Amino acid sequence: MSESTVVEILLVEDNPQDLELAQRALRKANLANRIHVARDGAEALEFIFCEGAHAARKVEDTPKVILLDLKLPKVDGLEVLRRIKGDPRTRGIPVVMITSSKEQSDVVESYALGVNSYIVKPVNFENFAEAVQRVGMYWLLLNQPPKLEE
Amino acid sequence: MPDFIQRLYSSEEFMPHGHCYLWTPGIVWLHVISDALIALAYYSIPITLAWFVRRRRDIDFRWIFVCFAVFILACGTTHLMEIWNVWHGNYWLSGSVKALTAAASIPTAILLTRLMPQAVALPSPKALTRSNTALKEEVEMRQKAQASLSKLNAELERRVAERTAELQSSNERLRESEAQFRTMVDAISQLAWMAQPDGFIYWYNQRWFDYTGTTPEQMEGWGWQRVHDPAVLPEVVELWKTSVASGEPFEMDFPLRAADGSFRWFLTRAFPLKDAAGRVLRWCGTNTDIGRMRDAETEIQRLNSDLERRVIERTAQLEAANKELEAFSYSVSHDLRSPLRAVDGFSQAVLEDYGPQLPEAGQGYLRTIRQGAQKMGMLIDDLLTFSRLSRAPLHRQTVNTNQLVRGVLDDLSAQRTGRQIDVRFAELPTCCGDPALLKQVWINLLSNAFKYTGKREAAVVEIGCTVTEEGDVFFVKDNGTGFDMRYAGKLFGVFQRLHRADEYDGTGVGLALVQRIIHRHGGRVWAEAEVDRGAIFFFTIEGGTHR
Repeated sequence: MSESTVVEILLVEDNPQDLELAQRALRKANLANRIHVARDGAEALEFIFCEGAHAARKVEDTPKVILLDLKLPKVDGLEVLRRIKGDPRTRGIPVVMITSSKEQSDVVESYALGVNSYIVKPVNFENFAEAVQRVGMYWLLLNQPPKLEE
Repeated sequence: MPDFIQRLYSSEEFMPHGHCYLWTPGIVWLHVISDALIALAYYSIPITLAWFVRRRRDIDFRWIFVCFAVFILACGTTHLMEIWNVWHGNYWLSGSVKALTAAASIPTAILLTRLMPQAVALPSPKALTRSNTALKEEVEMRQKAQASLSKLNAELERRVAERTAELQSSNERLRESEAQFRTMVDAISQLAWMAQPDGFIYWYNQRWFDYTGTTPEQMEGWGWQRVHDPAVLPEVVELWKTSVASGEPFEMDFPLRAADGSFRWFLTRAFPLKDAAGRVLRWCGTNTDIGRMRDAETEIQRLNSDLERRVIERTAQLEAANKELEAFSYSVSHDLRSPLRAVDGFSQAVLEDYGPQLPEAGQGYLRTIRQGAQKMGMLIDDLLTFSRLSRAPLHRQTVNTNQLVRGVLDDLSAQRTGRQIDVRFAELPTCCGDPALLKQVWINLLSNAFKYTGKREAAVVEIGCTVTEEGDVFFVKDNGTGFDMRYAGKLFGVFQRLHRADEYDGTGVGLALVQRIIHRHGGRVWAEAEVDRGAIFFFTIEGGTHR
């Protein structure tokens, strides 16, 4: 199935433990089929804009949703968000900010840059899993209802 | 010549005149006696005239009487010669006497003629009498006038004496007043001086000389410039000249050199003394020593600027500290929570994936680990909230307290589910504050009230406002577990708790946050409680309330 090569979720997370927990939560919700993981902002941008290791990919094959950590090495989450929302080819991709921060300035700036959702990672794993599953499900459903029916 | 004299007195050549009378005794004696009588009369007249002239030395034309006397005397002599010639023919001599008589009589006649107009002009005795009478009247009048003049003079003298006495007394008063003035101006602590309308200073009080150590001679006129600071002097001179020109009062602070050479600051004021027409008569000036005042001012300024500098420094330090705190909070928010998520998350993963293989105790431990991690997460969250709300800018506006509290009660409805709580809610005044922060206050106080009445069958929570000397005081009263007033001091401290966690859960941040917010609103918060009888929390908001 050619569509199976299309990444449904781009998960950008530098913390290996948070990454594993997020993957576990998505897996539990049966949303882990086509996840691509980027470990920092630069890697995320290379993937999205098909540069470097991802030069073979086409920009138009956009992921269905991007789960983006705010605090990232090299290029931070807000910068990645700015680049995605600043390019007409990628502007339509739903981006969900996932972060530990409750700082108001981050929230305000993220919305100013056009983020679609914003979730704060709770310490409690069940709450975290629930939040990840809910936003993942929501955006996948909204964007590609037929995919889920398959 | 002796020959001529000889002949003159000789009678030998001529016969005596008696022969012409033929020596007839009758005719001889007629002539002789007549001539003798005439001569006698002629000689007596000059004597009378001489006597008159001697007695009346005031008379005009005395010389004419002398002339007459000489002339008549000469005439008398000719008659004596006539008698001599009767018996002696001495005719040369008698002719010479006649010639002398002629010489005396002709000038006399001429002089008399020339005197006549003046003699005619002489007043007659009648006229003299008349003018005498007039003169007498005038004299009388003058005497009368003199009398009244004397009277007036006496009056005048009396008045002069009176006026003199008055002047003396007023002079006395003036001297006294002058002495008072001198004593006064020398007694005052100020330096004092007086100047002419043109600014020329002509008098200084003793204090001036004592302070400056100068002499009146050195100071006269514009000599005062020598006790000024040369750097300030031009300004002083200009201002003084401006005042002198305009007649406006002079006021200026400047230093004056003391006798020991040091300078002290003086406040100098000069007022013009003006006449009725507004012309300046003189200037009266004083110099007041303001050295101590100025030193104090300088000290205050120095302290102020020092204080300002320190405030700026401290503000900068605080701003830097705030920045650091923000960075720290951000860091805490991100980095401290991450490991906790791992602890909690992987504990859960173990429970989920390997739960069945673990003994009950092991599962219990994992649950305890998760509880600990979650508690710590809550502490971090509360601490961050506390830090954030403490730093958040205050947006004051009119807050409808009734609406705000109703909203909070709605938000807290979950906490009340399944419980019987009697919430008594009186009408509350509006207040001026930050609605978001005040909402946090009400949330914390009300959720505390609900929490600590948790063990009450019939919980009562009362919300209200009372009027005290401080103004309106909001309060939240409950009939819950209360607390021991001995520990009231710890009530509002961060992480301070008066109850064990297994009795009432909590992080000990809520009331600390309440206090921080109320303090930021310039208000006061306090509590009254009794163990097992409930608690009342009071607070005020600066800026007033409105009903």
